[in-house]
Amino acid sequence: MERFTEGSGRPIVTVDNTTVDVARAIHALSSADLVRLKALARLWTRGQDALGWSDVLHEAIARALGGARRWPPGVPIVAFLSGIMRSICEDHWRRARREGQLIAREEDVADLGGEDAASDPERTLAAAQALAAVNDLFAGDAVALMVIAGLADGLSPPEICRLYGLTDRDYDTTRRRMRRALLRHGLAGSET
Amino acid sequence: MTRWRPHIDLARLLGALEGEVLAASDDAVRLVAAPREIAAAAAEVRQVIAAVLGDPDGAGGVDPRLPPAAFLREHRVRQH
Repeated sequence: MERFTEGSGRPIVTVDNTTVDVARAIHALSSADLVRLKALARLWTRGQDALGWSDVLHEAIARALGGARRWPPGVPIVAFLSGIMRSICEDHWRRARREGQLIAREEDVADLGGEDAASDPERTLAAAQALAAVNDLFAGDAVALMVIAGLADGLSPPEICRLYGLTDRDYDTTRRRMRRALLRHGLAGSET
Repeated sequence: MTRWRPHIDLARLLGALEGEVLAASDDAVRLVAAPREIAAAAAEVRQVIAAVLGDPDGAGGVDPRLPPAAFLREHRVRQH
């Protein structure tokens, strides 16, 4: 615990050390870190109409400061906040599904196929739409779309290279293009 | 019919792309846009931070050594 006092030495408040550390780390973020944070907030909310990036980031910071989530030692603050944003987006999506806000049309789900589509159509459709929205970020970059498909399938980089006939250099240059696309998307001002 | 679980694909993909953003170097960030665009995006995020910390003048105006106003509303803070 850390004590904060008036000039006279009278104690004002005692705050959990971890919370103070989080506040200090957030204050110390560089412009590049802030851009990464915004890019991550926009990535997690991609394809989710009801969730704005700034709302999710706001909630993530509030949870981190409030101690609802502990900051693990050795984890960079941006990665920590990103993990909280991921949880918030997943919680929001689960809640929306429970409350019936995600309504799948029968013909949309039929196009997707598979057992899951039949058993949980809203979840399947929402995830498929979010996947499409992420793919849109790399529209026009055929190799990036291959890498995206491989990553979504859980393949390792060597497996992706083997499957699509890419060299290590192809893969590395594609990853750099993907990073630039994600960061450029993060810099955009709109909520979508 | 092949069993496709798009929510699993989405989770894997977002996890991988999160790693790419986190791994982007400061130089990579600087190369994607003009300095004023980067400054504008950083300012937007600082406004969000300031809103959480209850600092109407912007996050830069808060003394980081002091507990933000939001802390005082939390259970973890003990008033004297």
